[in-house]
Amino acid sequence: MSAQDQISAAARATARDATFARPKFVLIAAGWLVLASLPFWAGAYNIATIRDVLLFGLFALSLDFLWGRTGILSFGHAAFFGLGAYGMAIVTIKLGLDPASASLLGLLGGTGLAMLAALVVGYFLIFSGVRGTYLTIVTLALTVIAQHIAIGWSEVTGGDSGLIGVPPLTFELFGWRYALSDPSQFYWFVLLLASIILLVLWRVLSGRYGHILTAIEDNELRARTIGHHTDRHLLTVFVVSAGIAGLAGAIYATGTGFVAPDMIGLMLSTEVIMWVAVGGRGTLVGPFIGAFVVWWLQQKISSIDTKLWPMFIGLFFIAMVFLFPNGVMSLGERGRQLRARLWRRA
Amino acid sequence: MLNTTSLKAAYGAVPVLLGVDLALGEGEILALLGRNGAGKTTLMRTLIGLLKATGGSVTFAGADITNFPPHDIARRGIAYVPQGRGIFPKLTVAENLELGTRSRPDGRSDVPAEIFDYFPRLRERLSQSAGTMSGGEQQMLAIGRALAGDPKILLLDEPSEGIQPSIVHQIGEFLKRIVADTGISVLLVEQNIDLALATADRCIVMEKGRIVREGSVEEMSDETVMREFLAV
Repeated sequence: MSAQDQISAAARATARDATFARPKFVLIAAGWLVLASLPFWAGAYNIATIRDVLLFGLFALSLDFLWGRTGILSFGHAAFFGLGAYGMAIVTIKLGLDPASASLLGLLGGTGLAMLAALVVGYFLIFSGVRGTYLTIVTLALTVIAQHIAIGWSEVTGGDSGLIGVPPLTFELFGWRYALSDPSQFYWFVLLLASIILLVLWRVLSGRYGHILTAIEDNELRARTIGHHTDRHLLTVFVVSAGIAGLAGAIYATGTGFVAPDMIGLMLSTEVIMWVAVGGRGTLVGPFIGAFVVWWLQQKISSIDTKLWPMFIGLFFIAMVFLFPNGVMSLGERGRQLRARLWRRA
Repeated sequence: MLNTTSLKAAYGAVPVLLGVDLALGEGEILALLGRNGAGKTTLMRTLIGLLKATGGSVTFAGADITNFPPHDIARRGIAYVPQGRGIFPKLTVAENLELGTRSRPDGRSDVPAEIFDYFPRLRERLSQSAGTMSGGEQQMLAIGRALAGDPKILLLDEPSEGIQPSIVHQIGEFLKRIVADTGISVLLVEQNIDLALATADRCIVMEKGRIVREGSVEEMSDETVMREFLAV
């Protein structure tokens, strides 16, 4: 190995460790401040929209935790988001509890339902050695089944039209009751929650546990032969990921006030994969950016002509995979690469 | 230390191990020789639990560990270095070593310093991505990572494969030193007869899923024996 090889190899290693290196970190911090100050300068409609984008970002983060770190692609992650949303709606609308306990029970029920489903499905799949494409196909089936149940079991789920009238999140602490009906406060609550979950995941994944997951993605059999119980690690990540997706879904339902079958179906499962891919798989912050970019493009393009959007998003996705396979988080680096390649040709 | 009695294993319907009897003693380096396709790697994979045995048994330190899951076997003290290294290329040298400590019996997670006495090169490269190292360095890392788990037995599958000759010789020296210092046992699968004979205390030869010959290094060094069992 020549000295130059060594230098570039060392640089690659540092670049990988420095996902949160200074310029990127400053950008992320600046973006966060803009988001945090949004209620002071944006209208109520925009606040609510960005709040939903943040929740979709949180949902995408849950998939990135699974897909980006273990390599397992779930094609049915909307099933967990939808279970969270439907769990929240059913508890708050159908059970007739008082608002504070209904909200809390809805959050716990929705998230718990998603985690339970992931635990049962994940246990049988992961512990029996199902991996790769086969695992992806089963998760795909899961979201299709979930959507059929959401449409078919109309006494509970409201069928095609869904359930309307999910109340805003209400908390009760030491006898002091608080409903998050004010758009700004609800927005800040969502921003804070998403930030906390992002930071916790980032902390955990930049430590030893993150290395174990990277090792499993690299080569699961090797990780197993040096003493790591890989089945258990993968199941844990799958269940936690489903829990975060369910939580995002439950809160989303309290924001929109209703649930519908498209929150649990295949379309949303596909979209969330796109958000992660656009933002950059394995980057954790990327999924939020991906969700934002796709949402923003949809606004712009649909305002020209609504028929353009589906065609554009397909082409856009193909272009992304070709030009920026590591997502927008690698835009700078990839731009330099592409420029260097053009120079060499010229 | 490690014994197998008429161990059988198969890939699907194709039987590969047809009944292997093997005894690895404490502090012994046992070389497992044989032509391609004799079942050497299959035997290793069955010992570590990556492949289910279809018959016979494996006992380790008096306990029956036949068909235990790999992570369990690893934590009991059997370390496996697969063919073609088996490091995690995306992780750094330090991270690779750290992951190897999972099977330590004392539950500690710091990398034992002795590893750097054996492989000083690894200390220099701690923050380097393992995938960017040379073949020899990767092999050192793979052995170092196996040792980080403080094993009682080291299973080495063709450590000399794809490595420059000077380092092959070094690896043999390392192994002897490690065994002399720590008293672990080594089962060494090798195609490189010189390395095997220079390192091992005893040799066994596998052919078509069975052990067909066993003997001291001196017996095996004999030209006719080698030609009979090992010539391709």
